[in-house]
Amino acid sequence: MIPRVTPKLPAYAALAALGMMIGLVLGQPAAVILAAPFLLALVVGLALAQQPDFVFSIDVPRDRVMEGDDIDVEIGVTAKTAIETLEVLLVPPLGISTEPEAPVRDIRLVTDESATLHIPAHCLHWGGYQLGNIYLRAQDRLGFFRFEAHLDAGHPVRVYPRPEALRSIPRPAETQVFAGNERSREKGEGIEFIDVRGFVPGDQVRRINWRLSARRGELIVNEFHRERNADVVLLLDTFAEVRNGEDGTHLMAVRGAISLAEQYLQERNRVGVVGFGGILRWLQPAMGARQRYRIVEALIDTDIVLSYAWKGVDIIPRSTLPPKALVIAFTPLLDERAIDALLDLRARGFDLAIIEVSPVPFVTPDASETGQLAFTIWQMEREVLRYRFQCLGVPVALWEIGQSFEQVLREVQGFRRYTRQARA
Amino acid sequence: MLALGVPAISLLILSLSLRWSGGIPWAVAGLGIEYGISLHLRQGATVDPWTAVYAAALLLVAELAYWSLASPPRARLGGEVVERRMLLTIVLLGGSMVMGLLLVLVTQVSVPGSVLWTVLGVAAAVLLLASTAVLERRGGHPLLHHP
Repeated sequence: MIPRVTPKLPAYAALAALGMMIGLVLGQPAAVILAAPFLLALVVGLALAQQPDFVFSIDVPRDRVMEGDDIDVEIGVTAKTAIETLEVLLVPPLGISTEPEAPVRDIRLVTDESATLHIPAHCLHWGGYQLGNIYLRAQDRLGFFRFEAHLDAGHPVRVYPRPEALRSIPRPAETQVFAGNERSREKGEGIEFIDVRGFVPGDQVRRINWRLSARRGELIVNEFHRERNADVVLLLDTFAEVRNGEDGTHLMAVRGAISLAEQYLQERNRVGVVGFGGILRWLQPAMGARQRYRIVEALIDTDIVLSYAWKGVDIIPRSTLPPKALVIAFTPLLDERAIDALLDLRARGFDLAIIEVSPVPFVTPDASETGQLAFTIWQMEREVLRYRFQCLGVPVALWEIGQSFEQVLREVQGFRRYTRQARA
Repeated sequence: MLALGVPAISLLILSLSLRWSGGIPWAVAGLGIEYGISLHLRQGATVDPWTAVYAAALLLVAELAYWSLASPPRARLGGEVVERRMLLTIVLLGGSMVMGLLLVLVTQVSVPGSVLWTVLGVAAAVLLLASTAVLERRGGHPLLHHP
């Protein structure tokens, strides 16, 4: 710990010296008597001053929690020497808040004594945090010296976002070969009726439509949609974001992606993640509970990294973007590289849907006439961009802060239904 | 005397309310000078035995003032910490009074004045002042090991 002299020490020394000087110069013994207690306090204080020595530990019993949960931060101190007073201040990272009334705790320990401080904290936002930015300040017995230390224990705490319950999600246009809950366009084993045809040897008897067979006078069998799974890739544009305080486009995008991943995985689909930005991160499509945790971890770790390097979809590993996969992109449509990559994906025949996490509510336009004009032009350019994607058959659903994600997905579904009819 | 006492107390109140420790020594010095002048006007060079009590009271004022500024306003001070600090302050006050009374007794003893005594006293005071200045400039405890 770094020792520092408090203002009390020079003040007492000065008072003692002043009394002595006045006593000597003016020949007033009373001045010396008045100064003597301060001199005594100085001597006692210097004699009792001792550098505090202790072992410090930090623990968070619940280090994997959901957004909005409370956690208890345990700070353990074992004194090797007696500590008169030890003030402990935990500075939480942005996204975690501590009790504002008492961020500082004060304890006193004798030699070899241990104490544990419990500091309640509230997880405001999802994310991976390092909890352990702690300032310690100890004082000697008479308050002449202050010993300060800054510890960065870095205890990891993962706060997972609460996925929004979704009733319906965009259905992939194409399915894969594995069994699942998605209705395939192909005929085969399933439970959803699609057509009828004449009986051929080898057909199962339970497939015979007896009523129709009786009417037509020949054996007719029912045909069904195959039930298959689909590949879904959640693509997050991490080139740029717009933030306003604790909310931002990236935070919204991650929350939406986790909600979608949760729902797709529940329906036995394979889900993968691509963080396309300054740093490329990817997770190959897979299914199951393990993949759910992998996705959440991967999404929490995605971050906006500033980069000027031009990047296209070529840098994404092929296995991450399997053929016939539904690609759902979360983007604020701010960076040219992300926009180009999305256009490229569409040109390569991927089934693409864009959820535009709108940066507009986070932007405060300049009050001047020019500023207002620039803001209007910017919004119009965004409209044009949206229209460009829609002309290519790509749904672009605008998601603004405060808007239900379910509603945004319904917009995507509505557009996809309409485009399929138009193609037909 | 009011011209010294009232500003000193006002400065003390102001320092406490503004949490400014720089005003405390000036306030205590003002109170001490005010007492010294009143004593000189009343008794001349004779020392009043109550001076030891007044000196201890000045120390108490300074201790309590610094104590009130030492902890952050929102800190939760444990009962044990307060008890221990109070005990130490009481012991210090007792020691101060004993030392003050001893000094009062010493002043009763007539010692022939000499240049040597004066030089010794001045040297001690200068040394004290110099060590104060050095301590303040270094910003660290010279006797403690800096890690």
